[in-house]
Amino acid sequence: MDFIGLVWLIPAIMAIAALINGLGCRKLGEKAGYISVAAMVFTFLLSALIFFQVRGIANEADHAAVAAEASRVDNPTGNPGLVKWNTMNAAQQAVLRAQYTFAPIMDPENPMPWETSARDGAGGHVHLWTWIDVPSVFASEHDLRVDMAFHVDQLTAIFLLFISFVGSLVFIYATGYMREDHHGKVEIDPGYARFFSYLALFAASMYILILGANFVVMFIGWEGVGLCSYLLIGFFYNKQFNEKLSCADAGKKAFIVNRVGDFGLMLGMFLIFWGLGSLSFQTIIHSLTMGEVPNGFGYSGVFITAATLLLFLGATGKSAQIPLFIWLPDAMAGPTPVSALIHAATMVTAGVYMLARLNVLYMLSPTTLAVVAVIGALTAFVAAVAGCAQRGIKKILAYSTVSQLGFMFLAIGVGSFAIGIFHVFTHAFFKACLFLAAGSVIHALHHEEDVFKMGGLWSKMPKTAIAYLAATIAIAGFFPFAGFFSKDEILYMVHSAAQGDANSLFYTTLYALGAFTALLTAFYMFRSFFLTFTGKTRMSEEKYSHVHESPISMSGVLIVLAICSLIVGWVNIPSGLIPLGNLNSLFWGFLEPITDRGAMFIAQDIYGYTDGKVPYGAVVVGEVMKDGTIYGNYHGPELLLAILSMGIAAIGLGIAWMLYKDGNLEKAAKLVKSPLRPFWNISLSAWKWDEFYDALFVAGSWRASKAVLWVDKYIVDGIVNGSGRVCRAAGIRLRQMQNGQVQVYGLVMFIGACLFLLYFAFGISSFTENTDSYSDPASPLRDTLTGQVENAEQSDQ
Amino acid sequence: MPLLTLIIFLPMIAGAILALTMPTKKMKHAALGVMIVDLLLVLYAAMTFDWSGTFVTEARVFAETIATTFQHREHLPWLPEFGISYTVGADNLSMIFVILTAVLGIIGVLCSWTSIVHREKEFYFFLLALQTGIMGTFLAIDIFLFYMFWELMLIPLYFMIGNWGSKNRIYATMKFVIYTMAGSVVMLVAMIWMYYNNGAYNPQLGVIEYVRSYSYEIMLQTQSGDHGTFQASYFPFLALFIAFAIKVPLFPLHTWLPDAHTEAPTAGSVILAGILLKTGGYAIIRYCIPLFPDASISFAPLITWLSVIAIIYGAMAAIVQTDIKRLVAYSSVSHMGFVTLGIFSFNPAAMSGAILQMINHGISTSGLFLAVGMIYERRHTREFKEFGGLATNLPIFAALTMVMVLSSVGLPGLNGFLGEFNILLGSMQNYPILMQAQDDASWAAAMGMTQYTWLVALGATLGVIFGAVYLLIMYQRVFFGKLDNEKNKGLTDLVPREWGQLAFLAVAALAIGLFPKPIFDAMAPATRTALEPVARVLQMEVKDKGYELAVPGVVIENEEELLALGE
Repeated sequence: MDFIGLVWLIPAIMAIAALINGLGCRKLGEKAGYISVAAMVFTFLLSALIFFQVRGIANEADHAAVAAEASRVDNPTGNPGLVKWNTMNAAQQAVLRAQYTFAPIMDPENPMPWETSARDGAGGHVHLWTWIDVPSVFASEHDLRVDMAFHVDQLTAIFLLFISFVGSLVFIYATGYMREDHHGKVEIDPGYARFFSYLALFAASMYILILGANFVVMFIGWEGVGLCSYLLIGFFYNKQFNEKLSCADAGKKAFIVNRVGDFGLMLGMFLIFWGLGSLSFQTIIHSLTMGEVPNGFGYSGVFITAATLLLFLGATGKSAQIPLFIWLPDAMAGPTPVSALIHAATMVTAGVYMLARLNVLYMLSPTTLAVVAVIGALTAFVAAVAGCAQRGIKKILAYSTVSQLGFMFLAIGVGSFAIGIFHVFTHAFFKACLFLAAGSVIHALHHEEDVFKMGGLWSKMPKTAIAYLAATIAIAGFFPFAGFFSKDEILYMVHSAAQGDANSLFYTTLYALGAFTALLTAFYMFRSFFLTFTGKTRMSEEKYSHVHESPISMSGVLIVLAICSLIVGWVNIPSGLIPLGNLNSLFWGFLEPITDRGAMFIAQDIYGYTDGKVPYGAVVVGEVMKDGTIYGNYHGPELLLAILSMGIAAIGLGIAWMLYKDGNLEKAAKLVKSPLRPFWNISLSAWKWDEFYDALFVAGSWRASKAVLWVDKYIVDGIVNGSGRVCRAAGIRLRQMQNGQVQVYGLVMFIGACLFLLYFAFGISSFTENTDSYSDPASPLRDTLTGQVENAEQSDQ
Repeated sequence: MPLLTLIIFLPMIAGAILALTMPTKKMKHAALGVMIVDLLLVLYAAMTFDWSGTFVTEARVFAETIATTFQHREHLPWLPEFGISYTVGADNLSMIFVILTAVLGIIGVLCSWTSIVHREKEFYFFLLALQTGIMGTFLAIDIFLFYMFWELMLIPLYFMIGNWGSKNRIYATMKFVIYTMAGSVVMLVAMIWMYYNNGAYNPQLGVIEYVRSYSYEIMLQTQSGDHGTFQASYFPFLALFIAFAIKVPLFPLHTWLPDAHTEAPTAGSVILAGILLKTGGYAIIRYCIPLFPDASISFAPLITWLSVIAIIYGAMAAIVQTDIKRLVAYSSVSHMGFVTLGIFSFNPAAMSGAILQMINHGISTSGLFLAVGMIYERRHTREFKEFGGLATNLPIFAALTMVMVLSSVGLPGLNGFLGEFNILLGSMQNYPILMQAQDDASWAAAMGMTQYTWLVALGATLGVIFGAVYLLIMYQRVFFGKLDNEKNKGLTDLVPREWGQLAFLAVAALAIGLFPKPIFDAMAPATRTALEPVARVLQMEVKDKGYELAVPGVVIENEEELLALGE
């Protein structure tokens, strides 16, 4: 069965669930939760079917490509993907299409077997309806045509799978979280149906985001998830989040900061449409790889750099990177399942997704990639520092999310798009696990979030504690947990990039920064674990005695996610670490045709690389080896690096262990008074980033707006009212003349007559004197008058 | 059947008869009935309308036989010795706005249902008369007749604001009428100028032949930029444009709008924002651009920059308002800035975006004014500080207002996005034509500042950020927070009549946002008609650079075809 053609059902079913819950708000009660969960689980099943179908097609295509390769003799490069399309014959084109299963179909008349009619002649391209359609008037312009269309390929399939899986778990968890047991009496949150309506709408938007076949459809999802994030952060709209912000403020902040990113995203889109005449991902990538682009859109071109930087601004908004990361820590004002799903596992990775989707564009601009790498590494470091001294458990996790997103961008910045996505994938599981475990604690402690007021919960909530521990180990990067494989691979990739001659120092610095951030990560994560679960409790006796493990709907989910935090990394074990033959790098191998297309293109077209194997993106970004050649299958000291990074993480763990394991805060307090104090202050105030923005942008724009209003009132409108007043004043003056006194009328008449006479006596003569050349025949009056004057002058003589 | 005449005059005449015969209590029902009949007539006209844009027929205007694209055309000599006739007709552009007018007319009656309690007969008569004025403005194709209807719109609104407005209504209504009138007078002078200079160069005789007529159809064929001197068209263009720009309103001619909007009764605000402002944009597309394409090109840089200023200026002024309705009024300034930007980008994407933006603004801003009216009816205040936490006891209201706010913010998937997106995208696409023609120094000089189109797009896109700021601030102050004002605790949620209006607009917003294809199809001929004169002028300028007009009706599918056209 063709499940790919049914992919539209996935967002549709979630939208319907959102609609039912939204309309039936009050009447549905607890049923609202079940509707959303059922819809979400359905999308998971469909996603799984689609995933396997995509895998099947990809494998089939691989076999076909291998077979075709074997029978081919006329390929000068030995790699079907690296020949210019125009120079290929039909058979070669078919091979390329087969290998890059979801590459654009240039030959709709000869579709591949899996291209059913529902999919509009392109693999995985599901055309729903024409959305925007403006034909051009100038031949030099592009038609603006945007289809409501979805695109399914390996990248989408992966995202579909883990979003629907983590999403289903979070939805199930939320059914437990949003109700409270008060001594046996179950209380449902009054906004229960509203909550599940928003969640379902979020899922629909997220699916549209990753399924969109062009920028604009992706933008629907992009803004849709932003909207749901806004609604869910401000879910407790009548509550205060902290001293400074209400929940509604936090939501508004998130939306507006994201809008700043959207500003960049939109301009980037416009620039790309201007240059390439399309907004469809397939067409854009096609025209770029064919090389038939206007000036400035080639390798290192000024426009491609500008466009990718602008798009990256959008990504920094959604994915909480410098300079737009400030909204994410405040986004914790939302209910915890929301933090887990939206602000950790799915939505915030949208920026990473977009960059991976556009890897060809980004690989074309080394400048942008360097910027992405720097921003990623800096964000990872800045957020990790900020995470070290926080007291709110969700706040710690929020900064850790920002930090981990920084790692993902670091991976992308060195051209390892697949590894960035791999970290997105593993992070989704262990970060969801962390947040949900934190939520379980918060739920049990009746909305207490301060880790300084916790401690010793291990015995009370063993399942939660184990889940939290598993995820903490994973995020700290200890073998064999999931985070180890992804984070270590990122650092390895940065290290690979540093092997090139050109920017060795640059990438080495980034590597060092990343490694140090890994240390901080291990420290602050274990700090939060020890403070929450081990040692002596810092709660009151009475409160402590009431703490109990969460219901099965929550703890069950935690256990599943804890297991995932252990195992999901195993899908991409690098051969440099444990040689497993065909089982090495499964994840990367699966994504390669999509995420490494850019690297391949650059390697072949820019560097003239002709080895059959695809080089690492990081290798391409690092440019050249010391001997002047690009190195294809570089295998650095991967094992050594892995051991090194584990050692680094162990140091972080050790420090946390010494300071916090027995729940005694004094040791840490002593340390804080030591020379480490400045570091602690920076961490506690999160680099005063918020204050800086408040002073500069918030207060600034407020003041500017006040000035605008003043100008509007007193200058622009002042002129209008002023002209009215002038008319009025003139009217009042002129009215004086109509006062009914005959004497005044007589006077005016007299003055008028005098002026008239004076005019004829002097005015006309001076006029004729000065305008000799002026001869307008059609003025008999003037002729007569001038004649009279002349006559008079003559008679005088 | 004189369909268009019926559509135009039915509301006013029926309104007059009903006001004289009906009991006061039944007047609103009768008015609603008239509006519905009018809508049905409009729908009938729309169904029998050829939307394809290929409609051309020959018609006689005085002694002239001309080709016309206007449908349902009616022509009666009125003052033939002065070249004035009663000619009405519809093309795609006017039909779109006529439908919008008919729909919002019904909403105008419904939203006054309980808020207008004294002198109901007069009120509904003026509402119906206003409908006649607006319909006539959209459907007249004799510019003198257009002028009559244009002025006719003012009178009912003058009384509506003056009689049923809130506190500062007299000041507001005087300002509105005098301001608009000042523009209209200049426009009348320009129209008389056009009457006297309405001619075309006859190469056989070697002279300019003049046609003394106010007929727009004749003017279209005689006055398309190639008569008289280049500078001669500056005066009439500017005179018309100022009159229309006041209506739009374009910065810095906008200051009547916040006052008029704020003081008007809800129906007045809805019609004012929803339709009346659109007559300005409509008239620019209908008259300024096709009749004076070269003057339009010359002034485009200035107008574009004023639009960008309007977008940001309106938004910033909205941010610091303390009155909900005034905030929405300033948001209109910002949103209508997008319209003029789109029109003067001379690009089909931007132009269709501008038309769509006008429709969208008619939906979302009307919705916001309805919402403000519903609050005002309950609390008799519009100050932000009086509100907060209304989402707690008015959930339906909060939800529907949210949709309107999001539509206004320009959330993709809702209607507002498509207009802004197309305008911004189009305003940037202006650039390649300019850049590639840049070596032609004189032409580039004529285009002046338009070379900075990218800066324009950049500035206008900033408006997208500000738009979110002021609307979310408004929403938060009214609906979020604690419900701590005692007076707000007893408020009741919307009744079906109220949420019906908002829900209708919300559904319309979603439907346009997701399925805009019919509207794009309907707009395409209008866009082409408006842009072709400009394209022709530009083409004269860049002919030797190989630019050609795309053949009307042919969609360029691929590059080969495009290249073939170029040859």
